[in-house]
Amino acid sequence: MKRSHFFFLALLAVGSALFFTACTNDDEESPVLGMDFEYLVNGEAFDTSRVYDINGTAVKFSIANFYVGGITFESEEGAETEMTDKYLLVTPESGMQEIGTLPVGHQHMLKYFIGVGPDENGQTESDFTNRKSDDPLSVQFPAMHWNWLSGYRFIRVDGKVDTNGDGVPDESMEIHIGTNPFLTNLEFTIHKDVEAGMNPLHFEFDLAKLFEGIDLSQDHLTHTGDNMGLANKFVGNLPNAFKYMHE
Amino acid sequence: MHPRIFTLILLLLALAGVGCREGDPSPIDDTPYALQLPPGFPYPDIPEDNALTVARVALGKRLFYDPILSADSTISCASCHLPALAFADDAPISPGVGRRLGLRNAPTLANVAYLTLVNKDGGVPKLDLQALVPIEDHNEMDLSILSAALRLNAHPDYLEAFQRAYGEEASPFTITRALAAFLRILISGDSPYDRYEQGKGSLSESAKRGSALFFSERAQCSSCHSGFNFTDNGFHNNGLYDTYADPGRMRATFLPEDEGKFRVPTLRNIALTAPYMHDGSLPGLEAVIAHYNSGGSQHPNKDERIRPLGLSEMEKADLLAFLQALTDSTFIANPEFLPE
Repeated sequence: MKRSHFFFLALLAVGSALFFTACTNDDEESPVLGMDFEYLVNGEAFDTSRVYDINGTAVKFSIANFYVGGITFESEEGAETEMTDKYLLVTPESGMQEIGTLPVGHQHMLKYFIGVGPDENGQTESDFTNRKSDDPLSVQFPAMHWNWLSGYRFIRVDGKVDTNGDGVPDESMEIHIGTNPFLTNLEFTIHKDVEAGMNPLHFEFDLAKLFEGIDLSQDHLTHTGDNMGLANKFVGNLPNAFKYMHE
Repeated sequence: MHPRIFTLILLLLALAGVGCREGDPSPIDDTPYALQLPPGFPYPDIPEDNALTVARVALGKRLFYDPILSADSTISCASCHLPALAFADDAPISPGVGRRLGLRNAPTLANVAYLTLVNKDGGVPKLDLQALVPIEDHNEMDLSILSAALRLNAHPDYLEAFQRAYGEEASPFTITRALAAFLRILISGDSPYDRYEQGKGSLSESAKRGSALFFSERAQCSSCHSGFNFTDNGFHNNGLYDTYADPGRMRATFLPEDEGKFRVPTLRNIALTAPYMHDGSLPGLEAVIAHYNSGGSQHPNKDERIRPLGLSEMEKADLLAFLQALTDSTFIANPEFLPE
């Protein structure tokens, strides 16, 4: 090889290394954890083009989004590790989302809440307009913030329901739950052995279970404060709608 | 050195240089905006991330008068907040996009820089977020703030104005902050009453008597309409109804004890902002005075200060004269606040 060619290649290698290492971090050794939620309705696959029977009412969904925060693992010994400041915006399309890293070992419990914690929900200092667009707590479309109340919709389920018994969902359904008292804590026994690489945590989320004891043909609108009865029933059903799927 | 190698070195240095580039020199014009305050007015709290600058105020003013922020580009902020009416409206409830009616009577924007909680129910914690309400409300401008940003960024002159004001393009943050910057300069404190208090002008004898009554223990008007801005910024039930279709502050707090409570409005320019009350149900100041003189409804949350006053006809006329003396004609004609 000619000397000039060798020098050329060496320079290329050094330069490339400079370029590609300039902005990297080096924590790829730690096990990574991720969460995904499989949407179901009465155990069947979720589909926004499909009409479902929920407690005798024909229902069609258009939006079913929610926030997950406060993600905390608990070991057998009771030591807790929180994925600090980590929020997920879960949608039917969001799939597996990374939540952070943990050391190799066994985790007994997983806790999280549906919603947004009081600090972030208050909007007094940081608010949804000054967050970066890749932050799930930034302004979203469809909107997950309230403007008139300046807080987040913790969970938003929209669609149409049949109110006259003809089987055609034609009246708007809007279930928008928010405000600090409605932050809902969930916990699951996971018995998860965290290993090197990606560690998925798979949940089922059955929307039909959100409406147990609710007659959607009669009661299908709440923006929380304007229909606290429906909001309370809906939130009371949240824990039953989520199921951790053991490997 | 071989020319090809020299070229390569330059290329690699350039590549390494752009890998973590901080960005181009700031395009921001940070010339401060000098807020003009009347005697006795404190400097309002202004967040660090939205300091008043000439560029921000100019951008906010342009947005305020531009219907581009409504879904069908027919409604601007100024459609419901008319400068000649002290930035209020003369309709009980202003129509928005598609002539749909909003929720409440459009308030004056005079001195909103001093609000601690925004909107009649206090549901918005800071002025810098308030613009989201009318822009996104289905019955007002009905436009997602993300769509508004896309629209604005499609206009090179707006894009340039946002860069000059904030160093970034239109976004939920910069749109709301620019509008708040303009709203903060809408300061009003140059009424005949103010000039009289400063020893620079006169008041009618009727207005003087009205002033004495307004600030008296008997009428107690000034116990809520207090301070330089004639408001305690609190939320009170003034006994307008026995049953409220609009829950008022309870809408934001969910607390039954807040039902029928609304933010105490400033009385500055009050003669320009008819009709009155949260729903625009009282057509004129005479009706407002008659309401307070009656003692109002029997609602359990009614403020204890709302009780029959037993005002004579002359006293009512005096109160009216005083309230009319709170009109700031320089405010509504200030070219800084009017469209170009």
